[in-house]
Amino acid sequence: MPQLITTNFRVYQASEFVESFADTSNNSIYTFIGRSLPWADENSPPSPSNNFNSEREAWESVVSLKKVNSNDVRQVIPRYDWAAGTIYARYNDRDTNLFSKQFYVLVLPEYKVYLCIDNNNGGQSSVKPTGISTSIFNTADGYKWKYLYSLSDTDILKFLTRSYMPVNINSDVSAAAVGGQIQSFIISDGGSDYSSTSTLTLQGNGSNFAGTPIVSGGSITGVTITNPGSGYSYANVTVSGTGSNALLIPILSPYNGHGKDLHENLGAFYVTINTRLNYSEGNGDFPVLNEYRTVGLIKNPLDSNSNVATSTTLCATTKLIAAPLSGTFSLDESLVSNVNLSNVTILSANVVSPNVELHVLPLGNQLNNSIAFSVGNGITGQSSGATGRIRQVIDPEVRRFTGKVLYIENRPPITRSYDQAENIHIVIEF
Amino acid sequence: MSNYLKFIYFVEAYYKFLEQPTYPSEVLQNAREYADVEKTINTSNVSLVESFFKNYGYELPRNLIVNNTTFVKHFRDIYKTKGSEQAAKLLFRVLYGEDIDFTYPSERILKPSDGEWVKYFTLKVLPVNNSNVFNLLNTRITGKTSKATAKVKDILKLQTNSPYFTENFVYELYLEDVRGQFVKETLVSSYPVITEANTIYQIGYVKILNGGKGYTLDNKVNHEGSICKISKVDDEGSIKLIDIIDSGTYTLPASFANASHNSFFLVNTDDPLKKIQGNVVLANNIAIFSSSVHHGLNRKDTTSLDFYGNVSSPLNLTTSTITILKVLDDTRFTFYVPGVSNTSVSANLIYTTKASLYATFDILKVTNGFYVKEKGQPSSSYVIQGFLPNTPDTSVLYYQPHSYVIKSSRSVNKWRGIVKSTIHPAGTEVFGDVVLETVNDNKISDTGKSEISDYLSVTADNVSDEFSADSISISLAPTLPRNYSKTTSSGTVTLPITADHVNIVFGYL
Repeated sequence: MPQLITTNFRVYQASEFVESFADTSNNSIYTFIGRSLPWADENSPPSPSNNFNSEREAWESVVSLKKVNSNDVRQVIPRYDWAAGTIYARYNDRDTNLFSKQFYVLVLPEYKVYLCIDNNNGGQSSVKPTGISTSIFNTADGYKWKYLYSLSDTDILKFLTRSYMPVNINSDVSAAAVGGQIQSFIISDGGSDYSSTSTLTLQGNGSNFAGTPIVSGGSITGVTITNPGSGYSYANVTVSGTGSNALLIPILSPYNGHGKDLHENLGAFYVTINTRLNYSEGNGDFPVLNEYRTVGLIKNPLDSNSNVATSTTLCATTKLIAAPLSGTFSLDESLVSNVNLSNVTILSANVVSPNVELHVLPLGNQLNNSIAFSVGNGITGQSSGATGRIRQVIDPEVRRFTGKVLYIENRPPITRSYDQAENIHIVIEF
Repeated sequence: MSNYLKFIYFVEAYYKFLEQPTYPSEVLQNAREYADVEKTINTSNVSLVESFFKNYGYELPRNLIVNNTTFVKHFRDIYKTKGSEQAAKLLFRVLYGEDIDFTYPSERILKPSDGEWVKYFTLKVLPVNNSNVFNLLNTRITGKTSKATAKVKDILKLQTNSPYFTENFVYELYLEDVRGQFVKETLVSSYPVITEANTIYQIGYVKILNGGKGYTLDNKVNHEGSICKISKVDDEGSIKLIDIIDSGTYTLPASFANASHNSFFLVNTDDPLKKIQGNVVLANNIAIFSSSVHHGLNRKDTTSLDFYGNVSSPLNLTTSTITILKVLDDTRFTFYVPGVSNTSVSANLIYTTKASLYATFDILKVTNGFYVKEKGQPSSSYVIQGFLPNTPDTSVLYYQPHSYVIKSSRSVNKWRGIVKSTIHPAGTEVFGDVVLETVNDNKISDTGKSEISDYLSVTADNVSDEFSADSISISLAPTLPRNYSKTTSSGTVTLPITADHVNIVFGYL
């Protein structure tokens, strides 16, 4: 059976996904980072497997989590910066590939977005569109544009990347949108033997369209639209007078007009989830000086009280506060207890005078949520030979292996640092 | 000559010897080419590239540089722009083949009076004798009558359906450095070619004589092709600010023939929309309306109430016009309702008064001022200098006037040393912003499965996980098996399918 998932369906899916983040009573989604130990091939991380075991493996190495709030998620579209000399595609209601074309532009440094209504028969754009008029306007290069919206500082900071930009609804543009206008024509066949007395006749269900054909060498090369009319959901045009064989196809604006249903108009079936990890935020929940190689999303992990976690940041490691006895503990080395056979990996080792604060994770063969280290145990770093005595054991703020792992991404190592933030953009195409 | 043949051979051989590659004659003859780093001698003993790294680039990470020659060729550009964005961009391009971005934390520090307040000055014009009005762009125009001048910053050609003009297009000029007062006149600019255009009237300003009551920001304020919007109302829905979205195009009506400013004409609004929700308690024909917001009424005012929310109340789902008996306070008043006693019902107070708005025809439109973006506003994402939640140590250095951030896909540890030793401006602090962007294709496909038997319905969320339910079935009508049989005491009967059903199955790739 011939069938089609329409772009509107994809946009709908994207918007539903975005809205799900606002449903805080049911959804508490976290971005996690993990895996401090190196891959077998650091330049070519293994692809995550889509099975239950892979989820557990991802959880094993989780170091820290940060909550994704509804204002961290937005529908986005591919970014096309306006540049002189570029031929932009025009909005065309009959173009099945419209959403893979540059039919809108981001103008810098104003961060304004304009829709290309007409591209002067495929000419180069040389005049930057400007202004915030809600009317469609022509520029000196023959292009016809419509202002759609501007990006706010927050939009730019959180969601504008080199490849994608967020979609905003401008209430003025939305309010002024006129549905079913005819602002451009496809000249499928210019015909022949037409003259300056030739006229257009338009049949459709809208009203007030007015335009005259542009005739060059007896052929119709364009239409001067003097009134785009409104309310057309279908329209056919015929050319009267001398001449024959012209075939002009009117391009109808969306039912509610350009800018009214902007996500659908621009094909916003991409969603960006932005998580920014600032230095050592969360009072050390995100340790610096180590590396991570896995990024992912978890839905509804449980906190240490077995409630769905809601804190902004969560530490997934056990903290051992130890009095150092000799040497210096190293990152990623194994740590053994002198009392029992417990064995963990050191994720971070910060000296908090006079103690050392060790963030540790159980090794792979210890898949429980607790670490069998106790106050008073002696500890030894297996590589460094450093020794210490545990003064305090602080459990993780999140119950490991709880919630549902939604997304796993293995990456080459990202080294955390006191002077570095990470801006994680997970873009999902629906 | 034959007597000195050997000498000739010797001289010829000597010069050939000198002209061998890298020998003195050859070097002198090709000095220009040797100055080109791509063609110069490059041996282990004599190497311009090695000499460069030894003398100027000893701190550079040779192991990261893919092509030493290319790096040396561009290092001059890096060195010339040292301390600038350009230098860092060149360095990253040469070292990593990566384009980077810059941000400056100082631009995100909240400072008093730092907001960028903008007003647009616009004129609308029609061309004179089919002149190309776009020629006025970036020129200084002069009004022939008023002698007012301004610089044209932008020009837009707009469609107009104004009943006052036969022309289909007008040109909107965005001005700056306006001097004097433009009137209905011809504008002229002589550079690059003499271009003239006639000014026309537009709505320049909307004056609020009476803001009315009951308006919301959704109310429309329109006048013959112009579009205005209500930008601000108070608690009672009284209009406080009007923005002109589209100023329209007008000729001056005869009654204003000699006017250009302060000549008001009435602008209509649609009916006010606002309703105040409250509760009504009636006792002995006297009702008390109370709500959580200011009702704005006075004694003897007349208004309407929509009653709802109590099916047993005789007032339910009715609308009554009432007269205020007594104003108890800002949120409560009493009114008289004959024949209805001892009931309680919710009510919408429909309390509206039409606004009186007047607009001026003006040549020059000056928009209401507004702040560009969020700069300088306490409610914005800007922060106080030195402040960054949870990271006080870092933020002291981060949010200050002399820090910059390099946005790249690489960890700071990979490039911090290189940047600091080559192009980093002294006295500043550099931070890294690692941008990790991954695009994931989650497009759904119609699987083409239309038989209900192909899929097992899964309802409980936790069960969905166990069965890895990655398809969704939408049933548009009650479903029945195709051959529905029923066994009764009289035997098995086959029942007809009485309900059509459509199942669309979407599979997530």
